[in-house]
Amino acid sequence: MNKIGIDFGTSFSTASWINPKTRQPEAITFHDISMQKMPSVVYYGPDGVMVGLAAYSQLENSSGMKPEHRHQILQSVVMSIKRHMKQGHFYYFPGGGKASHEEIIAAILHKIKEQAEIACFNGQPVEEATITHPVVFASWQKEMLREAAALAGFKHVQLLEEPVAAALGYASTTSEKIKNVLVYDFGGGTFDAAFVQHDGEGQFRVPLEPEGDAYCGGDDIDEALYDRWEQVAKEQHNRTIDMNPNNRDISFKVKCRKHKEQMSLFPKYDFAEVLPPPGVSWVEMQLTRPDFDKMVEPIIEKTIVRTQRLLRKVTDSGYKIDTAIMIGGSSRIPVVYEKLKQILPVEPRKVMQVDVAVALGAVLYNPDGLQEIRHKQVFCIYCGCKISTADKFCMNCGRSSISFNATT
Amino acid sequence: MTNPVEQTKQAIDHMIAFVEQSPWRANYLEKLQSLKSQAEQPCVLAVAGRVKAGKSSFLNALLGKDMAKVGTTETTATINVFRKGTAPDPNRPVLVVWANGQQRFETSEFLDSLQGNDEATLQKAEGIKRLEFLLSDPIFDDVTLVDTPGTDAIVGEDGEVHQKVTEEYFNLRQRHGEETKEQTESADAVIYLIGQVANAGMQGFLQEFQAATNGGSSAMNAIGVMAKIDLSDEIMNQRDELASSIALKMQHELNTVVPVSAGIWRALDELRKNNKLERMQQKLKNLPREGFDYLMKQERAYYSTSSVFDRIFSSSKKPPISIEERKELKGDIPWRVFVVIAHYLYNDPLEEAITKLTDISGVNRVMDIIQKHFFNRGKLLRCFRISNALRSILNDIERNRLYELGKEVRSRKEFEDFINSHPRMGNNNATALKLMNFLKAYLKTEKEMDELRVTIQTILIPEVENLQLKLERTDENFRALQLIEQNISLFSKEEQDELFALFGMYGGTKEGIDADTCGRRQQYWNLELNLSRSKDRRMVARHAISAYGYYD
Repeated sequence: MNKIGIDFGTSFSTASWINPKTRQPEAITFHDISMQKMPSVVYYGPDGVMVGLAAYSQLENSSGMKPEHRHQILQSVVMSIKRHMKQGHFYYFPGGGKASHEEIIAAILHKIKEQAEIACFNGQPVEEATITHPVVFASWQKEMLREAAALAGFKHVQLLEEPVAAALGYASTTSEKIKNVLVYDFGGGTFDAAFVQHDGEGQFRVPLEPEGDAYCGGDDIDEALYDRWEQVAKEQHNRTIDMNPNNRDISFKVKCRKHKEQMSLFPKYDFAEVLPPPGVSWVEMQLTRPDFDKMVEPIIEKTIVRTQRLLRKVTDSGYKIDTAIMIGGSSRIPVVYEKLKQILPVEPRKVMQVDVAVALGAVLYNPDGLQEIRHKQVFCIYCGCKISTADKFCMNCGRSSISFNATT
Repeated sequence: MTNPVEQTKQAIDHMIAFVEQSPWRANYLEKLQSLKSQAEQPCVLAVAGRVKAGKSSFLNALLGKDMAKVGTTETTATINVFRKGTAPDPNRPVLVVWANGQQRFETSEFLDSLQGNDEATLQKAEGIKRLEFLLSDPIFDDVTLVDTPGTDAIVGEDGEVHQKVTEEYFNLRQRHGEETKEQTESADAVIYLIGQVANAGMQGFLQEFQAATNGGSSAMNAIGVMAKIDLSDEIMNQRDELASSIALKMQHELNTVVPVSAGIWRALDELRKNNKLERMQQKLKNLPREGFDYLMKQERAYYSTSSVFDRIFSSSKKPPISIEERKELKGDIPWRVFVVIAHYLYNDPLEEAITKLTDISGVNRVMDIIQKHFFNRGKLLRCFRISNALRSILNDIERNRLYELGKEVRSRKEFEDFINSHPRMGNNNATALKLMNFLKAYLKTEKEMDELRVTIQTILIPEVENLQLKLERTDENFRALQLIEQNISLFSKEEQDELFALFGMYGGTKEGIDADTCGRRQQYWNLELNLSRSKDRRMVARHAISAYGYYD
């Protein structure tokens, strides 16, 4: 059966499949947008439902539109549904449409399913999925995910905790034995730090309650950049970015996201942008890495404090960390690595595919992993009787658990 | 919603019952019992007011108890906490908490040494963080009372500014300001009490309230009380107008302002207890209208004979009322209080007069507001915190204890298999039997583990999650209200009215809004969510979208 792994995120969702040629998990590139990250945004417009980048673009392009049209679009968009999902709740849209939270999530999952079928499975149906969720999700939230997946057309659904998926994904990329992992997941909308332990029997588990902040992510950094641009606009043109000083121009905020990404690549950058209509006013700003670091400090610091709190819990409970991985798009910001290095007992690892690490692990998940262990035939060192590694004692002499390998 | 406090207690009881029977008794029982006692803890009511604001008589009326009789002595320079409890030694009834963290029980002589405003006393008081009076009266099952000296405490008797402006005085005053803030912020409800006001107009009261709250109060948990309204006819006559205009001016510092007369409350209470009200009314109703008005004009006139009064009576057929009778009628009720009571008894039927007078006394209204708006919410928020702690415990059991038990169960199985299949230990072998019994006594079977797992996953977790979900809405509403309060200028008057009602402040609810309006308002806030520059306003928009998204 065709199977995919889905990381349903607050800001973005990603998915993965196992490429039969390489037998390795790979991120799915969504066919219609040629991107691996799909915004978790749904637009319920008068002419139908749009999901992902199409819905997001509606927001992005809204500032050039006539106010009525712009308002209609802004009222028809649902964002960050994951953070606010509730049973029995609805969104009402202009024109009289409405959608339950399950239906909105289903729209996102369905889009992923449809795109995966085109991109990876030659149009064959994908009916099995492993969907990841935060450790702290309550059973009714998990139930909502299951319902949404069923609405989206999946027949077999497994749920998996996000940090477990991340650890699984990371473990598959390295030949080392991964045992005690700290997962630092700094995404678009949220931050999570969790401790994941391999139980020696084929499963990862999360023994301690994770630490996190549902309102701390890349989005906040975009906001900080936006505020900086507000200052620049004030200095250079004596106006606010949006002509209404109480409003924020959502298209300009999307530009800030791009500026943020630039700052992870370049030590210094000269930005120039045109302010939203009316008129054509250029604003210019030079940012250096130290400037940027100073600006994002308070946001990064929040994640550091949470991580430290988790570290204390880990030590207090007698666990220890031997691997720390950084995932989520915002973990790309260089200062994150610097700061983490100072507080962690081990060197933090930069994971290759920070955006899709969770999805990669999800597709690898096998809930029956316990039975996967193959026991070997060995011999008891006392009596030479044939025993299995599954036994703790020799069945014959009962004396010892020490055994030696069969030579055959 | 069935009573969430009861529901929380029930959930704790179920968990205690489960844990007691489980292998993890030692791990969680103590924690669960402490959660239970938290759920049962009384709400905290802080009272801040100037000395001589009429605090004690107000508290007596509010709590329906004579505080002096239940064993409290007022000291003016310390924060006093009255709570349920018993002191280990009855001769040392007061727990003194010193600023350096030390705690000691002290005698009532010690308290006497704290009376007064002289330098030495102030110096002594400075070292004290608070005094705790442990009391057995049942009223303290439901409420813990914190009597704070307020931000302007060390004003001498009758509001005279203290003569010796010493260093101690300043230090103490400053520290009281900070501590009062600390106490009032953590209290479920705070009452700011204002007594006599020199300039009795609206401006005078406003200034007094502003001085008392000192910018440190919040409409989320504070109300203002104008005590002793019976002291002036002028205030008495326009009490409601005064109160509502002050409330409007201070709507972000005080939830509301209530005019109160503890004097009327107490007199009424006394008269009813002795069944004197009816007799009093009969006597008064015997007077002709002019005679009644004449007597009530002035206290001096009430106690003296006069030709005017005699003339009034000679023209009416009713028997005159002697000075002795008048004295007896008034008793020890303060004159102005007596006038108000007499007035209503004269003009209205008995029951109606009692209702009106009770209403004027304002005491029930204060208690009502405190219960409805603050204590209930305080209890819900506390239950929310407790339910989260319960969920944490269940998490730990589910993730760790069951996991460890699983390992144990597997090794028991291995041992059993080993014993059964070992050639030298037959089924009837005594050693084998002993070993088996040992396993039975110390290790659980798979079936036993599954039973535990099923109880946790299908009974305990859903119960707590259900509770959390219900309480979360209260918590969310509370946080939304807080955000609005803190950023009031970001919301238009219409938006404030809408949101305060939506999130349940001032007793408002969403009830009565039709589905269409819900949808339209949700769209409005969804637009604001995407447009607004302020993060706090967006957060409030989020809450509004959620509140409007649920329609039943």
